[in-house]
Parts: sequence; structure tokens; C-alpha cells
Amino acid sequence: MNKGAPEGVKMFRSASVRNWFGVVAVAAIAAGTPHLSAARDQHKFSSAQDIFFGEALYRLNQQEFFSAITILEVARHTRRLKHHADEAEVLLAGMYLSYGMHRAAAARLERIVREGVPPEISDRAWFYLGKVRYQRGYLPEAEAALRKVRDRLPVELEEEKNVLLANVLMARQQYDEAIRVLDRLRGRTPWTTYGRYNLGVALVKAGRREDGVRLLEKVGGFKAREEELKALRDKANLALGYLHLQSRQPRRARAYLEKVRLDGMLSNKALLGVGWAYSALGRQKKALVFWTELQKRDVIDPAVQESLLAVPYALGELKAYDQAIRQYREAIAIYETEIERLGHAARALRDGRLVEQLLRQGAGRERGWFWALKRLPDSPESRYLVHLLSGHPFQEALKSYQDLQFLRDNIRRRLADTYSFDEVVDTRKATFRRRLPVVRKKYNALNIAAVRKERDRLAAKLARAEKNDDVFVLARAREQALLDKVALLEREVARLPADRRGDLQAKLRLVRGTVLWRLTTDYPARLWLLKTGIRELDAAIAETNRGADALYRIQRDVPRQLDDYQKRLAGFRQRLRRLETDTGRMEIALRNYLQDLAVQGLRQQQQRLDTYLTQARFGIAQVLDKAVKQSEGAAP
Amino acid sequence: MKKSLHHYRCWKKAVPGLVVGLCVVAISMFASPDLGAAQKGGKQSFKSMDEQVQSLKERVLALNRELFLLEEELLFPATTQVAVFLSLDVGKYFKLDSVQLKLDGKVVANHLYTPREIQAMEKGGVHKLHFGNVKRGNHQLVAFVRGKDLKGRDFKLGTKLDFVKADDPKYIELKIVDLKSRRQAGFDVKVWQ
Repeated sequence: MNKGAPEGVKMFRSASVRNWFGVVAVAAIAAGTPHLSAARDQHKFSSAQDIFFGEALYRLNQQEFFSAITILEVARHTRRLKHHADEAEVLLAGMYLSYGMHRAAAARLERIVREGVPPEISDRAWFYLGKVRYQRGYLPEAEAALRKVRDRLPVELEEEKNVLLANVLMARQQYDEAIRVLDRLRGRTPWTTYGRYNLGVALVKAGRREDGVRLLEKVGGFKAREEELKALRDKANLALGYLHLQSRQPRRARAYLEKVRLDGMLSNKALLGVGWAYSALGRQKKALVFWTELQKRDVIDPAVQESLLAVPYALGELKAYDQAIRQYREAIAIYETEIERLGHAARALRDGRLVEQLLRQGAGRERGWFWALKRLPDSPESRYLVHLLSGHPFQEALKSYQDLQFLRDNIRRRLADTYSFDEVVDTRKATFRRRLPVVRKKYNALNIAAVRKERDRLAAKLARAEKNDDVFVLARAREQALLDKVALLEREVARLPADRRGDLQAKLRLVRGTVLWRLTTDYPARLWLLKTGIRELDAAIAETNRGADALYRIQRDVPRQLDDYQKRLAGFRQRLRRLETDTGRMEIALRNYLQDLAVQGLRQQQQRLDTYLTQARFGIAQVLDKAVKQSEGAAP
Repeated sequence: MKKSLHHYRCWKKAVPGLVVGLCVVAISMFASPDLGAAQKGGKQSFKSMDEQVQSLKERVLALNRELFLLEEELLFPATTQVAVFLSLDVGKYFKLDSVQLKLDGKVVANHLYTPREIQAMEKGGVHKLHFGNVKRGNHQLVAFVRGKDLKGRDFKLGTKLDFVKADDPKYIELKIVDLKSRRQAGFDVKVWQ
């Protein structure tokens, strides 16, 4: 069990829980809101009523949190979320959380809760926030979030929350408080079993051994089907076994240790313990059966390493001194070889090869906080680091490093984009410069002054006609010419002798009358036509004026707008370059951190082997001493 | 290895005759191991790095959002912007494989779906197939999807939409739906305002 991650943590790393959390982490917070309630049971959101909300879901469902957040933030900014605005807030908080941005998620959640959100949602939100903070090592903050959960969590989450809170408290050495929290576990979920185990450990640590043993015995006797619970049962029995070995109760210890599965992860430790139990009972030959079996296993395991010392110890006790010395010497040779190998591995680590290999797995993809390394690189050093590499500190740092690589790639892509956009702006500038004179020329060719003059002439004509209902004003040119001709002829006819005027005057009157009749009957229609013509000209003039305004504005604004784009792009480039530098710096820091963590892990193994080496040499001296004493005693 | 030595001494004292202590196993059970202490120390510095990584993420996301808006403003102004989306509803009668999209007779998008993408759509996700520009006025959109029908046979489904582009952005969603009465899939086309 590693220090930063108390026992229950294993559960988080299990595939089932991780998958479940992976898919639902975000949805689960949102579950309970009207449109997202389906997520709780089926991991499916109901049909999106805002298309961009649906687009964000498409990315989110592929665990592309960076893209999903960007899409949703843009949609919010452009007010494109008419139906899902509230859900988007909750969803965004969940996505920030899933993307490891628990600070941003917390700020958003605080606001959502302040603005009034159903307790089902706020409880889930605080729960998941607490979980992420815990995984990232923010223990007081995790506790604060988990304490905000009221009583509206479903039973299983409530159990998990209590186990999580107890883990936080135990990690902060607040065992009594952890015990109080774990005492609340009443359900029959797997979390209860984890909780009991954790409580048992906490009680032992707090000095309440008997209470702790009772709980551990419950877990150790648990009938489990799932592998995870079987492993937990093994753990409880192993813990009980060693507890009883410590309290010099080897018989009870053996009974617990023999319950540990031989094909399980803890079988080596169990074999070692059973050996010690028999040894403590003085049955060294029986102890040797277990330890020699253990000796055949992978020497990288600490229990196997320890068995290399245990075997000669038992042989010494059996007074097989020659064999004991031989075994100690073999152990020394193995330890020395392993120490040398560890030295090589440490050098390879410092070269940065291991981190590179780790990062090559699934490079270039977006990841959430629940991403985990699934396969160790095939290198000599990684076999020494199995436990370290699967531990939270390493995994979390590795995730952050992976995220940084994605960010760096994104920054570089966006930097390239700004240059492309710049080219677009340049092209637009060139097109504008080329087209503007052509448009100006076309506009000038319109001769708007002449159009205005014609419009004014027609308007004056209309005014004259309307003033006295003067139908002659609207006479067409042909009609006006006819009337002029009639007037001329009438004057000519008037100069003729009276006897010759008769018919001619009558005919001219008929012609004039006919024209007048037509002008009078057509007057309303002609008036309407004239008005329509004037309106059309007004519209054409207005349109032309608008065009002129637009042309003016275009001439004034477009160059400014295009310059503004380029200024903004230059600003973006500056920010992107700064970000690139900061990201690069952070990458180096994280890489060093990962390397240091790994080197430290190797160093600890090396130190343990050094200790074994010393013990083996001491063992030889002790056996030699005993052999001498025996021979002295045997001498006559 | 101070603790292991200490532990060794404890065991030697506790179980007379034991030369070797149960350092490894006992440590992993109840004691505070060296590794744990190291991780605790490491975590402190990781915490500060985590803070910085979060800040970087915030800055990159904010900048990405701003650039996204500028990109849209510059390359896809509202007056010419058109986006086409594909979504799935139920999907009992049709298993999507690929899609081809034509705008005014020209192929503007071809997409072959991965199982991961299909799963994302089945869970309510909407795929943006095409984001581009068209002039104001009348246009025609033609989409063909290929996949498998209920019996696992190749199946092709098509739809045609005549639309008018005005000053506002045009968003078109092509939703593949199950037509229960005909026991096959069909298209439900929605134009978003």
C-alpha cells in the first residue's frame, strides 16, 4: 500500500470504476438536470436542443475535453445556447474537472451552487471535486469539498464518499476522525468492504488493535466473487497474519496467512510470512519448504529477496552451517548483481529514456484526468518500477506531462493558424485595393446628378398638374404637338372670310375636344404613373446614396478592420509564443520530477538491497561464530 | 533504509532467534514506509506544478476560444456561413459507416466513422460535417450515408434539401432516424435558426 494512496484507492484504479467514472464523471454531475437525466443510467444525453451543445457532447463522448470545452465556451460566448444554458454551466464544470482543472471547476461549481442548484447536483459536484482533489494530493481541499456534500447522494456514491473522506483523513494522520467517518458505513456495496478494511487498518494504527482485528477478520472471511474483492480479502488476511506474527502468535498468524491465495498478487508475502510463522514455532524444516519455494520466484520481488536471507537463517538454526554459509554467499552474489542492475537502470532513467517510452503510448491524443498508463515500456528499468509507475504520484504527473504535450501541439498549430489567417487578410487587402477603383468608377458612371435633375423636373410637373387639376400638364409630346397644331390652324382659320370658316372651325373643335377628352379621362392614370415614376426614382436615388455611403464606409472601415485583424493576430502570436515558452519550461520541470521520482524509487530498492547485503554478511559471521562455538563445545 | 534497520532490530527483539526482520511485508501493512514519505515530499512540489499546469490550461483554453471566434469572424462571416451536422437517433435499423455531402453539386465532405465516433453520436453527440461559406440565395444540399441495415446488408440512404441563404448563419442538421412503420432508417432534416 503506498503512503499517498490509502487502501481504498485501488478501487479507483480498477478498470470497471475507471470506465464508469470516465464515461459518467461529467454526466454524473449533470444527472438530475432535466435534459441530462438520462446520463445517470444510460450514459446518454437526451437529444440536444442546441446544435452546438450536441457538438460539444460529440467531443465529450470521445473524451476530448479540450475541444468540448472550447466548443461550449464559444457557444456560450456567442449566445448560441438558448435551451441548454443551465446544463452547459454544469457540464462545463464537470468537463473542467475531468480535464484536471479542478480550480476552474471549483470556482464554477461555487457559483452554480450559489445561484441555486438542486442538492442532487451540488452533492454530486462536490463529491467529484473532492475525488479529483484527493487524487491530485490536495488533501485539505479534498476534505473541504467532501464535507460540503449533504445527504442527497445515491447510496453507492454516499458510501464511496465516506470511504474517500476517510482516506483523506487517514492520509492526514487523523485516524480517530477517519474511524468516525467509516463507522457510518451501513450499506452492502463493495465500498463498505473497502471501508471496513480501511477502518481496520486505521484502528490498528490508532492503537485499537482488537477492534481493528475484528473488522479485518470480517473482510478476511468475506465470500467474494470479483477479483478486486478477492484481492482485498487477501490483503486483510495478510495484514492479520503479520499483526499476529508481530504479537508473537505464530499459530494464529499462520491460519490467516494460509488463507491468502497462492496465485494472487500477495502470495509471495504470504509464503514469506507462513515461513516466519513456522520458524517462530521452531519448525525450521517446514519453514524452509515455503522459503525455498519462494526463492524460485522473480528476485525483483522484495519478499523473494528477503527469502534469500530467510533460507540460510533456517539452515543455521538447523545447524547446517556449511549450507547456510553457501546460501548466504549466493544471496550476496544475487544482491550484488541486482544492485549493479539497479545502477544501470538509474543511469538509463537519468538519460530520460523511460519517460520518453512512457509518453510514446498514445501520443497526441486528448486525455482526461482518469487516463492511466496501461502497459509498461519494455525496458530493463521499468521492471524495477512497477509499483512506482502505477502509483498516483507518478500517474498524475505523467498525465499532466501528457496534457502539456497536447497543449504544446495545440499552441504550435494555432501559431501556424495565425500565419494562415494573416495571409487571408493580406489577400483581402490586395483584392480590396484592386477592386476599389473599379467600383468607384462604376459608381461615378451612374451620373446621379442627372437622375436627380430628371426627378425634380417630374416632381415639378406633378405639382403643376395637381395644383389646378391641369390635365394639359400631363399631355404627351404627340398630344401637345397636336394641340399646338390645332391652335395654329384655329388662328389661320380665324383670318379666313366668314363663309369659308364654317366646317373648318367645327373640325378643329372636334379634334381639340377629342384630345381634351382623352387627357381628362386618362388624367388619374397618368397622375398615378407620374407619381410611381417619381417614387421609383426616389428609391433609385436612395439606393445609390446608400451605395455611396457603403462605398464611403468601406473605403474608411475595411482597411482599418483588416489592419485590426492583423494587430489582433500579432497579439495572439505574442501570447502563443509566451505560452509555448511557459509550457516548454513546465514540461522540463515535470519531466525532471518524473525522473526524480523514478530514480528515488530505484534508490530505495538499492538501499534495501544494501541492507540485505549487510545482513547476509552479518549472517555469515554469526553462523561462523556458532560453528566455532559448536566445534569448541564438541572438542574433548 | 533507517526504518528497515529499525524494523529489523524490532523483529530481532520481538521474535527471539529471528535474524532477519520482516521489513518489506510488515512495512507495507502498517508502518509508514520510506517510499510513502518520499511521495509525500514529492506531492508538495507536484502540487505547485499542478497549479501551474492548471494556469497554463486556463490560458491556452481562453486563447483558443478567442482565436476560434476570430477565425469564424474572419473566415466564416454570418452572411455566408453555413454548417452541416449529422446526428443519430436510436439507430436500430441502420448502422452508420460513412457519409458524403454535396453542396450545389460539389463534394464538400466525406467522412468514414470510427466505432468511437459512432458511439459518441449514439450518446447524443452531433458531428459537424461541414463548416463553410455560400453566397446569399438558393442552394442545394445532397447527403448520402452508407452503412448496414437490420439484416447486416449494405444500405445507402440519401436526402436532398433546397435552402435559401440569407444574412444569418445557416445551420442544417441531418438526423438519421428509425422509421418504425417502414422498418428502416430515414432522414429528418432540421434547419436551425
